[in-house]
Parts: sequence; C-alpha cells; structure tokens
Amino acid sequence: MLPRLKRVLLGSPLRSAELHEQRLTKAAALTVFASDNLSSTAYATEEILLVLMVAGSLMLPNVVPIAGAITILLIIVVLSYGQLIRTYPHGGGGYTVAKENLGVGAGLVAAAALMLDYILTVAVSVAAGIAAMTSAFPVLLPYRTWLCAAAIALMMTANLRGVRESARVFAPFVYTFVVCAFALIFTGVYRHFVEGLQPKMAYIPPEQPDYSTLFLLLSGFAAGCTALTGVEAISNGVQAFRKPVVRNAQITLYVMAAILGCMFLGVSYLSQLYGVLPFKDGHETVVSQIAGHVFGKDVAGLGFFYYLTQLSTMFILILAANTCFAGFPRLASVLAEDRFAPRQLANLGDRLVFSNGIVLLGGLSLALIVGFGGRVHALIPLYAIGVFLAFTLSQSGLVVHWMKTRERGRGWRLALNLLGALTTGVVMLVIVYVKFLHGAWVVVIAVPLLMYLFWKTRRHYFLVTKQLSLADFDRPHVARHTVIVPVAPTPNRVVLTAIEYATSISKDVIAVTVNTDARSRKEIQENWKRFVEDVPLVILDSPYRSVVQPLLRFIGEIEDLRHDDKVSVILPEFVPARWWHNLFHNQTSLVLKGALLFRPNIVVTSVPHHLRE
Amino acid sequence: MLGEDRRNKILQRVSQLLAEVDPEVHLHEVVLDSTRQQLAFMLQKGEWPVVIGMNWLDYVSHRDEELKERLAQSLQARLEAARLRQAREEEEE
Repeated sequence: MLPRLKRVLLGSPLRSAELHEQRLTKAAALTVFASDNLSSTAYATEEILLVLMVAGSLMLPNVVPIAGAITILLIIVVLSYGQLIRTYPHGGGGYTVAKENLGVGAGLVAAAALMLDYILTVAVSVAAGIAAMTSAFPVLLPYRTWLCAAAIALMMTANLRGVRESARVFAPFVYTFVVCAFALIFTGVYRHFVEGLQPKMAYIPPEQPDYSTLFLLLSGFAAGCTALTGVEAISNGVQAFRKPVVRNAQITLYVMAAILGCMFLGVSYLSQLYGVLPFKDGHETVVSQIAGHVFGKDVAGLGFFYYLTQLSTMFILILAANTCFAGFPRLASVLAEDRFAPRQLANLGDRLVFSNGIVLLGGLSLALIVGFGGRVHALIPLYAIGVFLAFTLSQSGLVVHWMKTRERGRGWRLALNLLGALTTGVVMLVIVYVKFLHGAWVVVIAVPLLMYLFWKTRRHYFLVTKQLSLADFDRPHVARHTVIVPVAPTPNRVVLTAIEYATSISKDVIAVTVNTDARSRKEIQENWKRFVEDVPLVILDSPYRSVVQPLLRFIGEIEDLRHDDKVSVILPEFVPARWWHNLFHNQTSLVLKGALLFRPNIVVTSVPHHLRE
Repeated sequence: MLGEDRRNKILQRVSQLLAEVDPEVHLHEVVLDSTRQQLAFMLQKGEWPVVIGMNWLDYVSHRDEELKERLAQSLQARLEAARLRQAREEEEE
C-alpha cells in the first residue's frame, strides 16, 4: 500500500543513467534557484522604508540611494560568485571554497550559517505567504499552522518528484511574478510621466526627533540587504545545470541578478515617486499600495493586474522556500560526503534527488513553524546574517585561492573577490550591529552549536571506521557455538522449523520456554519429547508472568558459561498474511530481538514462517 | 545428549545436594554438550535462572560432599553475578 502511495505521489523511480536528463535548462533553473532571491522584491523596499519612517517622511526619499547601494553590492557579490562557480564547478558553494582555502573550521562556519539560513527561509517565507492569504481571507486564520504545513508538504512532494518536476510545477508562478513586477514598474513610470498620475503624498513627523542620520541610513541599508538572500543558491547547485554547467550557471546567476536589481530599484523608485508610506501593522504592503495606485482595483480594467500582482506575490513568497529545497539538500550531501553529516543525506533517492535532505529541511522548518504557531516574524532579524557570513567566507576563500595560483587574469579576479569579501564583511558587521538585540544573537549561539554537531558526526564516523578497520585485526576463532531457541510451551510448525534450522548450524542446541500459567512441567516435557527428541528443553518458571525478562536472563547465563563460546539465539517467528493481523499477536520475538540487539556477543537470527491466510 | 536414565539420575543426585545448599533453588534440566565433556545445570532461584557448568569428569569423580561444596560455590558466584546484573538493569531503567 505504502509503495503504491509513494509511486502515485512521487512518480516511478528513475534510472541512475537518467541523471543527466534530469538536469535543468537555464530557464528552468531560474525558477528553482531564483525564487528566494526574486521574492525579496516583495519586501526589501518596505523593510528600508520602515526603518526610515523613524525620521518621518523627510528621510523616505533616501530609499532610492539605499536601494542603489544595495544593487551595487548585489553586482559585486554576483560577479564574485560568478568566479566561484567557475573555480568550483562541482558545487558546494561557500562551504567548499572556505574549507579548501581557509581551513575546515571556516568551511563549517559557512555551512552552518547557510543551513541555518535555508531552514529560516523556508519557515519565514512560507509563514509570510500564508499570512498574505489569511489577510485576504481572515476565516482561514485559525488554520494558519495547517496551511503552512500543507504548503511545505506540497513543496517537499514537488521536489521529491525531481528537480525538473519542481521547476515545471513552480515556473508559471515565478514568471508571472516577474512579468507583473515589470508591468507595474513600466505602467507606474508611464502613468506618472505621460498621464500625470499624482503621488499620494502625506507628511509624517519624525517619531524620534533625536535620531542619528548615519545610524538610520545604515539600519535601512542592513534591512534592505535581505534582498541579497538566495544569491548563493546557484553556486551550491552548479551540478544541477545542463552542460556546459559553468557557463549555464553563470548566465543564470547574472540574469537572476539583473532581474532582481531592476525590480528592486524599480519598486523602490515607484515608492518614492508615489510617496508610498509603509504601514507598521502590515495590513497593506508597499507593493500592494503601489499596484493599487498604479493599476487601480477595478477588475474590469487595469485592476486585474493589481489582483494578479498580489496573487503572484503571495505565491513567490511561498516559493522562496523552493530555492532552499534545491540548495539545502545539495549542501547537506556535500557535508555528508565529507562525513560531517549523516551519510543518508548523500544518497540520491528514487527520483535522483537528495530525498533525505529534502525531508529533513521540510521537517525542521515545519517544527520551527509549529513551535512559533505560524508566527515567525520574530525570526526575520536572523535573516541575512548567515548568508553574509557565508558570502564573506567564500569570497575570502577565493582571495586565498587566487593568491596561491598562477592562473592568467588572477590579478583582477583577486581584486574582485577582495572587494566582495570586504564589502560583504562590512555589511555583515553592520547587520549584526543593527540587529543584534532584535534576535541576531541567536545566530551567535546556533552556528557554534551546528558546528559542534558536525564535528561530533565526523568523530562518530572516524571511530566507526577505526573499529571496523582490518589493521591489527586478529581473525576471531569460534571454538564452540551454542544455539538457544526460545519456544512456546507447546511445539508447533514455527517452533519445529526453527529447531531444524538450529540443529543444522550447531550440535549444541538448547530450547527454552517460560511457563507463565503454572502448567505441569512433566506434561510440557512429555509433549516436547513427542516431537523433538534430540534437543533438551529448559522450562523456566515465571512467578510474575513475565516472558521476556526470564529469557534474557537465561541467555545471559548461557553467555557467561564459557568464554570461548559463541551464543546464537534463533527466534521462531510467524509472519501473518495481512499486516494488521499482527495486532492479534504478542510480539515477543520482536521485543527479544530489540533487547538482544544491544548484547555485543550474541548473534540473533529470525526464522520466519509465512502464514497464507 | 544425555540418555533418559542418566539424565534422571543426575537430576536426582544434584537436586538432593542443591536442596541441602539452598532449598529455594530448583534444578530444571541438565545438558551435556556435544564434546561430551561439559555438563550444564539449569537452575532457578525465584525469578532468576542460573546456569552452572561442570566438567563431566569432575562430576563423576567427586564424592557427594565435594560436589555439594562445588555446587554451593558456583551457585554463590552465579547469584552474586545475577545480583550485580539486576542492579545494573535497575540502574539502566
């Protein structure tokens, strides 16, 4: 039943040879890797305006210069990441670069920061998208957490179906958003300059008359830097692109940055052009206000685009999480290959995606959403710190890389990455400084904690490898082999099958049973000997009717009897024809198996007998 | 495997000796291994199964007093081991 459900939901398994066919074209990759980055257009301008509002409406025009500065930063970061993709075409992004050039510790800092950011992005973007939905339909508000869970489940399923499938499912939403955003910008500019559409200006007095202009501008800049989250996703997933992977990944990165830069600058410019003010209670977003003013809200006319813009914004906010479903599993797989994360994260699933990483990300982000009851705005200050930490480390790593190599053009490449490292480093410090008390301190705790887990995992694998190594290994000599067969007091087919098997592997077989209902020992022995003549039966009394405990203790006694003896326990088991038939039977064998699993010198074998009806 | 007669004789002899050592101990079974050199006495005291091993030659060569002493020593050692194991189990729980 479960395999059938899995096949319906996720599709038929794909052959390993089909991996190349699963790779993405540039257009498809843009929808998979860019949704997080592009979605920031929906809120980055508003974040800047909210900060500038402290100083009243006189400071609001600074939104365009700040957006311009962030766009310049975007260009620097994207050009630097273009170098990273070229130098490290096998993916891994910031982790690989930092590890190879700055040391394992720096690599793990980058990995921890990125993983944290991916988890937060899923939780925050899904919650934000659902919040947009519950704002439009307040009747859905009590089901907020369930809706978030459904959105995450939908994205998990689409990604588990395969990277191409997820691109196919989500592409219309991403491209509709991009088209709507550009339509808004062009229409807004056209209507103002050609049709003379007037701004809705309003004067707002400063909230804090003694504000520091520099700190305010820096805070606005830090808030707007959320626009850069998701830039690194392509560098983590270079191998998801069709050949030539480097060229295709670089072009997609540059196209993504160009679209983001234009949309971000355009929306910021429109907000200034039309004098839009953000609402602190968030009941209407800045983009919604601009779209409502430019398109109107008459469905029969341009107002149709207003609703389309709002709808596509809601979807792109949810789909921002989709980028993480592409980035997180790939990063986790690279960590797993280096033994810093469980090996299962490096396994390709039926549909040639890192299924375990996808499920892990879904589970962790869902836990975060449930933990915060769907209200995850408190996590927003944590945003961007992880990404800028990873930016800084990967750019610094590339600087070291160029210093070591003698490749042609290394001079300007080094300068570019040095500029990237310095700017992103400074921005990271600014963000930490501005947002520290608003929750950024959590990152300071979470990153070392994740690093500790990475090291513990690595140490575990090291110890396992060491203990399984054949170096200095003396092949064990088994002098004797005693087999214990726990049986029911009355012999049956299952018991006799197990006894036959036991006598085939050892001459020293002891059957043991527990007499819980005070039956006559003589009667049990006589009945046993009628069917089994050559194997002694030990009948244990159990005054408190426990079955498992006396058996375990008996096995322990046999284990202690001789030190050169290998003890095997053969468990007779019958397998019911239907899974639910198990509900009608004691699971003594299962419990024994579980308990004996932790006895180091005992071999446990099940002898199943399959029932037909 | 022991023949029925021999098995019963051993059970009878050892049961009597054990009753003198500790009346709460019951002998359930005696098993001879495939090398025909080692005997294993399957006992139980209360809830605790106890298995005492003994060389076949020792068993046949010991007089009853010697055998009783040997059984008493082995039983005490095994019960002490059982007590330690129970303490460990309770600690783990």
